Amino acid sequence: MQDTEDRAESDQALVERTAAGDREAFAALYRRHQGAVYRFARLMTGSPSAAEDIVQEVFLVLMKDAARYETERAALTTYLFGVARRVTRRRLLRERRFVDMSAGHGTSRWDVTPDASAAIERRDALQQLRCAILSLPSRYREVVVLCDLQELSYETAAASVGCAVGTIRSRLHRARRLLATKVRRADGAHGVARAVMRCAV
Amino acid sequence: MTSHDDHLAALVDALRDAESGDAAPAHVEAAVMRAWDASHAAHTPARLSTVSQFASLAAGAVIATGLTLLGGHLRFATAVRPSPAAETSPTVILVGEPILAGEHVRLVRMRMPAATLHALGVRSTALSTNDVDVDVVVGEDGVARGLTLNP
Repeated sequence: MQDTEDRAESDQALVERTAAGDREAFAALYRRHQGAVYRFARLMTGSPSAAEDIVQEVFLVLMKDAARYETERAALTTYLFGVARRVTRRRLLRERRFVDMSAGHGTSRWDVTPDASAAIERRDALQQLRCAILSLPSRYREVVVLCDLQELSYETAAASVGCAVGTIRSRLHRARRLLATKVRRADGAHGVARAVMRCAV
Repeated sequence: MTSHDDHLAALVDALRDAESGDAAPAHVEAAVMRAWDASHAAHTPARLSTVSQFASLAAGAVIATGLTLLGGHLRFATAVRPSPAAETSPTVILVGEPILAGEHVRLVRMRMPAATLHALGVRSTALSTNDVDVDVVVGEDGVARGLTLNP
């Protein structure tokens, strides 16, 4: 019921109530948008714990800036991804390393597929894709995450990143080519490993 | 579109599906809402009446005066009667930026020549031996926040 009420109210109204100090409005905004921010941060850092910190930081920024946020200038999603991007980049710069993605990241609907072998192969393929995305330079990684995985429009992604729509298009094109090359290489290596395993069995 | 492009597009779709339901754990929401409560509790005095503000100001002045007098007394006591226990107890030296509320810090223990600390400007009567054990509090940015000397 609460969830239905949350969805009925626009982001703009909730931000205004948040700025006025309404705790429930802020909680509703958090529940509505935290998932997208969390997934963005996790794909960008490869670390669930870093993503949790980033979600926290993003919503603390919203809490402090709600009064100054101008709803006419950009959608809340754009604003939140913009903040998440800045926080993530600062964190990556500070740490200058990527964290292992294996810990606590393996739960997906593929795990319940009846065909265990196919499920493992799909899970491996997704893990390879996550690693390939992580190995992209951050300016390419963020457009893949925003446009291909979060399904933002080019305009929204451009507003979040703070660049022209044409830049997003060209970065995405380049990013997909790089990603395809990396996945192809990983598939090749994986295919050899599978063949070796079969021979060993 | 090549078969490789199709393969990549299918993989990206699968990854999007696999991740679509993922969300931050409940403890993150709890932490965010705690921060909200703390922030808004801190703002409550701003809404006090003029009389209350004046009373708060007077109370603050009394406390500040008391603390100043107490600080002077403590400085005097420390200068006149240095406790023998203080010679051997750990010495805490704050360096760099203060530790922020909620900041994750690491504690690194190391042993170094006392001369190294002397070179850094740390003077202590506890640094009479050649080597000294030092606990360094390191902030999130990798910069030291404080040192504890363990003579």
